[in-house]
Amino acid sequence: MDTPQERTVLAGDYRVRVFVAGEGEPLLFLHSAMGAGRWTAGVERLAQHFRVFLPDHPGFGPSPLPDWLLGMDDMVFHYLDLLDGLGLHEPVRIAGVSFGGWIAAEFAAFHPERVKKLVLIDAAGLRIPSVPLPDVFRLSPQALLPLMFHDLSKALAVIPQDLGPDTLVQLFHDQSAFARLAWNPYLHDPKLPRRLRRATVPTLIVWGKQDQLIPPVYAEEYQRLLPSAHIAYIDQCGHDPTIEQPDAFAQVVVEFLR
Amino acid sequence: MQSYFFHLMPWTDYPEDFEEKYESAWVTFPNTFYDPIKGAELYHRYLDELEYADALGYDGICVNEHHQNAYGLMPSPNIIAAMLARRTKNAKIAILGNGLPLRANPLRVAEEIAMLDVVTRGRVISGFVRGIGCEYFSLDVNPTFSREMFYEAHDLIVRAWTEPGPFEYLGKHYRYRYVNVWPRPYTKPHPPIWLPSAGSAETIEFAAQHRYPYVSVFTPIENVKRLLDLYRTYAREQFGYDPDPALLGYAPGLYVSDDEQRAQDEAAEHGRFFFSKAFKIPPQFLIPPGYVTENSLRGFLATRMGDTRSFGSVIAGTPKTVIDRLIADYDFLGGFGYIIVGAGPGNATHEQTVTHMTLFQTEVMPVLKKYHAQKMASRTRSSSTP
Repeated sequence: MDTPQERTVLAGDYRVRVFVAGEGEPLLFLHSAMGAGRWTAGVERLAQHFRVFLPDHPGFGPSPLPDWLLGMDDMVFHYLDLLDGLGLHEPVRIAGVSFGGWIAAEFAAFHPERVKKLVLIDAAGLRIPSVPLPDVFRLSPQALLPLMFHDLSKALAVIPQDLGPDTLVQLFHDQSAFARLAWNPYLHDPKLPRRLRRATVPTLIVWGKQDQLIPPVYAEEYQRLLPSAHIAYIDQCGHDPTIEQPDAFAQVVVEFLR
Repeated sequence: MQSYFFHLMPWTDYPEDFEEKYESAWVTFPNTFYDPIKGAELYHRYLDELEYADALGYDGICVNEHHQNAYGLMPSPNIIAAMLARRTKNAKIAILGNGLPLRANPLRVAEEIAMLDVVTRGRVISGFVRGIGCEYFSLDVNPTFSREMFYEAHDLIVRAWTEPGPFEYLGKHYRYRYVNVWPRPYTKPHPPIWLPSAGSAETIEFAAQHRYPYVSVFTPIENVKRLLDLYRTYAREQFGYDPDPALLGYAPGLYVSDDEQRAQDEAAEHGRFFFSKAFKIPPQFLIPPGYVTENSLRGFLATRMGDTRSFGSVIAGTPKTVIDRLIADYDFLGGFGYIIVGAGPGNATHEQTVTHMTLFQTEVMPVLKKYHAQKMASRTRSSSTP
């Protein structure tokens, strides 16, 4: 496997860390709330077919939480700046998981002309009133992980080895950036459903069949709202197929993105 | 030396299986356990106790703000302060405090405090707080904006109290075309502002900068000393003044009774109730994301935040015992100008509370006042010696 190369890229006036690996057509991969800087097995497989760019979202990893980050529209503007900073001026493939999927969906609704193909993986961003989402800010890790993983042993990939102050402060830092956009409205954007009809790009919705954090009915909701989307469910899989079922995940995603 | 009597207005009755079955007395503890009939009795009992503190001669009575919990039933401290305004005569009414980021419209805080200040002819102390982490769940306010909303609301309220209106205010979180608060406050330039806090360096610097009285709550005496010293250091080195002891408060866990052993036993009972019920709060509720700076988080991690030992020990005993402890603490802390005495956490009976608050004000306080006066006099003498 290629070791991803770590770069610092200027997005407008804001510096972010971007991991890059692979050759081929560019693919922007947007991480989950717990996934900053994590080159998962699923992403690694995508990098065998594409040149994958995995940036930290603003306020994640080493970047400070910027004053200007007040809402999803700021996030969309940031990613316009980042695509420019990466020299990606042509329409680009974008995939995002969970929180990253939400960002990808917003981006595609605002700027479909910058997106070649879109992959939404167990994406946040929508809210079906009759299907409540568990409060990730309230739950202890012991309560949260069983909702995220179908096979709890796979959770080892995301549990930090050392739980010293540095690790806890970094987790808090990333959670704070996540909470900035996901606290209220909780994990969704009430304006997104009406806007999604403008995301006219070909879209693949990938969803863990056993996702208990954002259940598969949310995949159907995305499909209903998007003009051109189909769903691939991944069996024996919880909230993050890039960790739990990397092979099955890469198979459907590579085929769609080719 | 001034004495303040503080009430939490706690709920008293928890289900037998509370500790196994419920994660917290906050946020999610079902309000079906609240009985309004019992609640009415409690409000009247607690208001009687606060009014009695005025009659006993306490310099101030304190109320506070917490939301959707059994720990303390004052979601609006200004309403309780209003009930006390015309029933009390001399005591300051200290609201410790209004949770500024929890108010979508902070001009309402400026208005309500000004009303209270005018009605009481200047007996109001306006504490400003951010609220504890739980309130950000209970009122669904984004905790990542908490600090900047707090500072901005503070600036807005002070300007609304002191600058002639109408004027325009343009901030990041609040914008008004017309700031023009009626009534204006009775106290000039504005009601005293206090900043009770769990002790972040940023808050202490802010308090020292504005010469606001500071008191740290829920922390062992070694940490109280560190925080008061930090205030003194900021005042002297950064803001160029020597802080008057009146600016620095002490709020230890205190319980006075007329028998040594009974005082110890009852205080221990109250402590068990506090930690196992009223203040049962998981870390996720206590420190939601973005609620503290990363620097403060490191401090909390180092002092084992959430560990019962991190609250400090309770000073319990007869007036004599309590006097001895408080004088030792006074010397250890380098002095303080006011002391805050709590009413108990929810299993203290009315009779226990009355005994405790009476003994403190009538037997402990006179000695402490005298000691403080002597120290102040010798301080004045030594500072005037060439």
